[in-house]
Amino acid sequence: MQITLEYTAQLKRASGTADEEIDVPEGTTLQELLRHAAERHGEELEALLLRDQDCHPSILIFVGNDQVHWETRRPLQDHDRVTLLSPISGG
Amino acid sequence: MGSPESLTDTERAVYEWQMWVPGFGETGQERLKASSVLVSRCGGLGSVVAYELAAAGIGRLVIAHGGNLEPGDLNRQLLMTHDWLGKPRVESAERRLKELNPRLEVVAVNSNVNQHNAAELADQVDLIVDCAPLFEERFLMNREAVRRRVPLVECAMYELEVQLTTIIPGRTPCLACLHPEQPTGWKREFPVFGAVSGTVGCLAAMEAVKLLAGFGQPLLGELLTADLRDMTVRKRSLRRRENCDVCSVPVDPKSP
Repeated sequence: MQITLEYTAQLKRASGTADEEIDVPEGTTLQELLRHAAERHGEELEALLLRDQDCHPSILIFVGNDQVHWETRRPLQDHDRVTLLSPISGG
Repeated sequence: MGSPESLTDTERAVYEWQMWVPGFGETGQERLKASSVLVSRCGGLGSVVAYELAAAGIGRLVIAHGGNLEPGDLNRQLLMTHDWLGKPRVESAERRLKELNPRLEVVAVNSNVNQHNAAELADQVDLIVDCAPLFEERFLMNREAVRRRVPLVECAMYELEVQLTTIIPGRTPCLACLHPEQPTGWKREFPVFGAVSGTVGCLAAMEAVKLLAGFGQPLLGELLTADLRDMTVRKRSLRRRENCDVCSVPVDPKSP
């Protein structure tokens, strides 16, 4: 199935892209998708996104327009749009 | 908020055009006049928030911003002027606000929000607009807002992206629900155009006006995001954390 993964702010800078289409097997979870993305883009993104293979608690995750907590076991659906929102504080 | 006060003839003349807005009217204007707002930092974002609130006729503004004006501030901090370089930022901000609205009461605090002044600052206002560039300051303000049940408009930017949400303690997610831990990698210096911080500043000021005057639909439990690079604007729903350290536990406003 095809998932759109969107990055914002510092995550966008670290991944080098605003969004990307990723093909994943049926039944792939949000957790697997994020670990796959971190592995795919290298150390800079991984350092911002993951801590001990879990999503850093300061990152906001959305599927569509709904926030999803990392600990929620949620299988992804074909054509889901997952957004990883980097915390920003610029004034 | 104090009791709504009748408008003077001068105020009716100044605010006539905004009192035509349906749902606002003279009653809304009287509520703004009776309101007090804290703007935490008057940088690129807070300058515009404070200026718009002064223009809209807020009765009292508390502005907290430490340090002296530097050349690198002048691309976005619209309450600062070139002639004030090397002098306290907050003095320039107060002067510009009073030039725009001489009826406005300004409490100018030459300090950023910190653990010593956060409670006192939050205690004296009806609403807070958080424009601080450091998460430490934002977490402090969030904690005090939750303790005192003061609404908090959270607005921020990075490069060409903006985020905005409005927190009603006890009803919506608080900042610690969204970011339970200090984010990694955030630095005080960040890429910024004044037009981007100004955009989110205007949006935040409008949230404050709606909340204080009691009309429209503020971003309660919702996050507005915009990327001005391609003008994508989205509104997303947020969730409270049942185990939030700040808002899921009963709070004693008198505790330190």
